[in-house]
Amino acid sequence: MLNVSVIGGSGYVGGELTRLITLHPSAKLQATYSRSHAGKYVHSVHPNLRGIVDMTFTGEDPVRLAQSSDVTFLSLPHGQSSKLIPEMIKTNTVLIDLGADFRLKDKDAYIRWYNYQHPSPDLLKEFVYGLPELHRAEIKKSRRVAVPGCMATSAILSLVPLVREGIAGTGPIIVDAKVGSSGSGGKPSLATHFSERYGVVRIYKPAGHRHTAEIIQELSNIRNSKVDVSMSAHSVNMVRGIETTSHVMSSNIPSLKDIWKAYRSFYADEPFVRLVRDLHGANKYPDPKFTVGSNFADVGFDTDPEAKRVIAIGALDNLVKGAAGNAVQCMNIMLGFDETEGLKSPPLHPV
Amino acid sequence: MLVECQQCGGEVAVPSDAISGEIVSCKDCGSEYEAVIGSQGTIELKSAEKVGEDWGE
Repeated sequence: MLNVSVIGGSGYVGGELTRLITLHPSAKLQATYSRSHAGKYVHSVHPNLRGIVDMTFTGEDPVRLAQSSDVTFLSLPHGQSSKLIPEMIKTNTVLIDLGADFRLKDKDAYIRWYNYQHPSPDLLKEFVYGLPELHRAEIKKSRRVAVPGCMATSAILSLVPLVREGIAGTGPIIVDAKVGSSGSGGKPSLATHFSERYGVVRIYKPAGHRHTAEIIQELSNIRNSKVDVSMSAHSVNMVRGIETTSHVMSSNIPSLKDIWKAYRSFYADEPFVRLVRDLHGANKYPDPKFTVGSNFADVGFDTDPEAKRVIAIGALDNLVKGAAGNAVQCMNIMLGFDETEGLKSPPLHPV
Repeated sequence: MLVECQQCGGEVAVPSDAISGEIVSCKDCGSEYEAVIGSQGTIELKSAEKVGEDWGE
């Protein structure tokens, strides 16, 4: 049985990690660290875990926790894990960082997108970008993974087949992202106050969202040349979920059958990617509502031949496939478990 | 028996005891077909006639 620690256990992602670890047959939660909630019961912050996790948050030194853990998950605000990882990396623990600090390979990209001088640029190469659908073989060989951002995961998974097959032209890809309130984290603010947030379609980042950097990085790797991406991010009226609608201009619009082929060939063996493009019913395309609580990412597409546009749609639960579930999937790959262990819960319906 | 979906290229499962006129659908894209069983047991798919949904689009 693996001993697992969560550093940053009181946030929503930390709570999801805790929940998923309880479902894993080969992993045991050793400790969950929260400086601000040390000594409090886990269920006092994550009430869904009452009667399931009989443990209090610890305030013990995170590096010492890592020393005694087989696997250490870090779910901390941006800029925090890079303070701990230079020490943690000296231990034998497997490190899975859910923050942004080690996702980008180019240290200058941190200045461009995060206005942040990375304190340990030499460690960036130590981390694999933890998207199994693109980097499974590298993840398997690695002991350090940086889990992608939630919006990036949705956009990348929905766009990769189009870029890989050359369907996407060389022009910029426009990503329109909609995210639920849990994407803003567990700390309340005026922007997340119910009266202010309920009912909004708030475009909070028309351009320059940080996750754009990951999308550019990964799609450019697929194409072997720079892919330009511009993303607009909206807060919408749901708690969990992300939907990305991406617009790809192409001088040569393939048939729908050929696009089906592109998606099928890329995702045929993927346990957590579902193709959704149904001709009938109310739910013809991916909708995050039908991924809630699960590790599924749903992807779909359509074409607008007159405007020479292909539309790629992605939907997922931002806390599961967009964070904690994907992290557990990476752990399974790194440690040789069945990739779906602990992640077999189907989505809830209705929610 | 599996027959290729004319819309998406997926596989449409036609039961071995299907009779002509039986409605079958594609698991992937939801296209509906009438199975047409030939005298030699061949199976073809013909688009099923149905009233389209009006979504006000």
